[in-house]
Amino acid sequence: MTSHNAAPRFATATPSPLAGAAPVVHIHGLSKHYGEQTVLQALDFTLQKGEFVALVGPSGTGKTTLLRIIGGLEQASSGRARIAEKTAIVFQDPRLILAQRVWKNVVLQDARKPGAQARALDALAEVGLANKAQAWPVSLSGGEAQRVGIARALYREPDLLLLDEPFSALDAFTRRKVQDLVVDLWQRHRPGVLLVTHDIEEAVLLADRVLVLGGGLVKADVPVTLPRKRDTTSAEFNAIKRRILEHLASAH
Amino acid sequence: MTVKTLEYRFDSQAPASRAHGSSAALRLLVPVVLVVAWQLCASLGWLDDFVLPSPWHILLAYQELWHTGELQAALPVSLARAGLGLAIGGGLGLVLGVIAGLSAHAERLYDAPLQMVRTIPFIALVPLFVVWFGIGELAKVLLIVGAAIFPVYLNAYHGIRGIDKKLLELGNSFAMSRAEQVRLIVLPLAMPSILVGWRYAAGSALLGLVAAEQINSSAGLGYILNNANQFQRTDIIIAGILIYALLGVLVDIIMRQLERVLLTWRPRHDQP
Repeated sequence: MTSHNAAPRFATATPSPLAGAAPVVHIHGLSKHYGEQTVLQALDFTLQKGEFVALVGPSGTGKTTLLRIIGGLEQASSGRARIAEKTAIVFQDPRLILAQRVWKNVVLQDARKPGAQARALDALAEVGLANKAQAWPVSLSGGEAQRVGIARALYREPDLLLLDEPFSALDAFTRRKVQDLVVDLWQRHRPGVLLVTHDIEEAVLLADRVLVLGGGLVKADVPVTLPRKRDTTSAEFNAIKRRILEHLASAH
Repeated sequence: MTVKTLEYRFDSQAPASRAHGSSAALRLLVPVVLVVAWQLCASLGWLDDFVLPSPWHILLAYQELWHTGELQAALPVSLARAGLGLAIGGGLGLVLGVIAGLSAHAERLYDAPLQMVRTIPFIALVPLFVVWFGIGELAKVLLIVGAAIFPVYLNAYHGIRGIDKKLLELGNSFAMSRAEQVRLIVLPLAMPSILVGWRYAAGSALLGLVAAEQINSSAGLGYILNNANQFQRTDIIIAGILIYALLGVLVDIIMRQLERVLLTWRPRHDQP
């Protein structure tokens, strides 16, 4: 694992203070300004491989900005970040290339590499879409398109999986199925996962840790130790939900 | 309250083939009626054969052109002119449009001058081209090049500019190189626009062909028309005009087929 190599970013080659463990994200003193406006303020944050972290916060608190910086889509203004080289993003909208067949949307620039198609089929089989490999994206439903987006990330065997509100455009029934799928894939492949969401219930349902972002800072770091196949109606579940909501109320 | 009852029977929907056949018949109805009426008026002596010859006489004109070998000689010459002009002009428009679509620098460099030139009706350039390039093939082909270049340029440029920026961001986040993004994202998604550009360009090239062949042609369809004009053969003039029309229809059919093959990924809107 090396520092992210996209663009001359603020990453450095100095050894991580957590070299013994396996942080896939290690951020120190990260700030982001848009002109006068401060979105992230000297933020510290570490995410281990195999850990599932959800990032919640009122809109405009920089959740998505942080994810985009980690994903290399935006530059921070100052600070330091070490990020796993093998990082893949699943966006809110599936972002499929309509002019390419499903399996080519999975492999992208690898289409001519030997074995790429077979690996794409494996990834598609894992999301339950093996029979759609040759289909055109316009023929997919919303849930299927989002699963192709997940297969595309999975194909890259990422150490860090970034999820930018990937469930928010799905209907309630499909959302639960895709959420279960993501947890299932995470348990099988154990990447570090960073999920940005504004759905508190979703955060508590999926994550090991819920970070509450507010005013450009991490306001709270709430561990979720409930055993999985979590029951959203249980008292413990709702106690955690309430704690996060309280933090959110003070985050403004 | 009133309630409407809808009843469906399994035979209420016509089989696809029958529906298709009847729609084709419907398309042909108006042209056929017009030609029959035209022939009828001519046969009844209501039309002056010199002003508007009957469809039958025009068919005889084709027979005459075929027997003298003029038609067989003219068609390849005209098609080669139009094809060459279209290939060069369309190709140039495509390259310029793609580059302008991808690079803001290139767009700033030559988009404004091209837009200015575009507003000149190319037919107005005929006298100037004769002065510059003479009355030979060069002036004719260049005129067709000028006619074909802009439709492809404009549509390629707009097709590329219209691509969702989020998809290019996707390319960046999945570490695709610029060339890979162009090959896998930009060109395939801009293809519908590019093909529309070629379709317009083909029509435009045909128009350019007609204008170009008015310049002292010694071969080609324009030559037949000029000759017929001198000998006051209205039937041959109309026969020649109809060939131009037929070429236009043919080009359209070819472009439609090309779209069908190249754009299989798009939902089809052209089906009844």
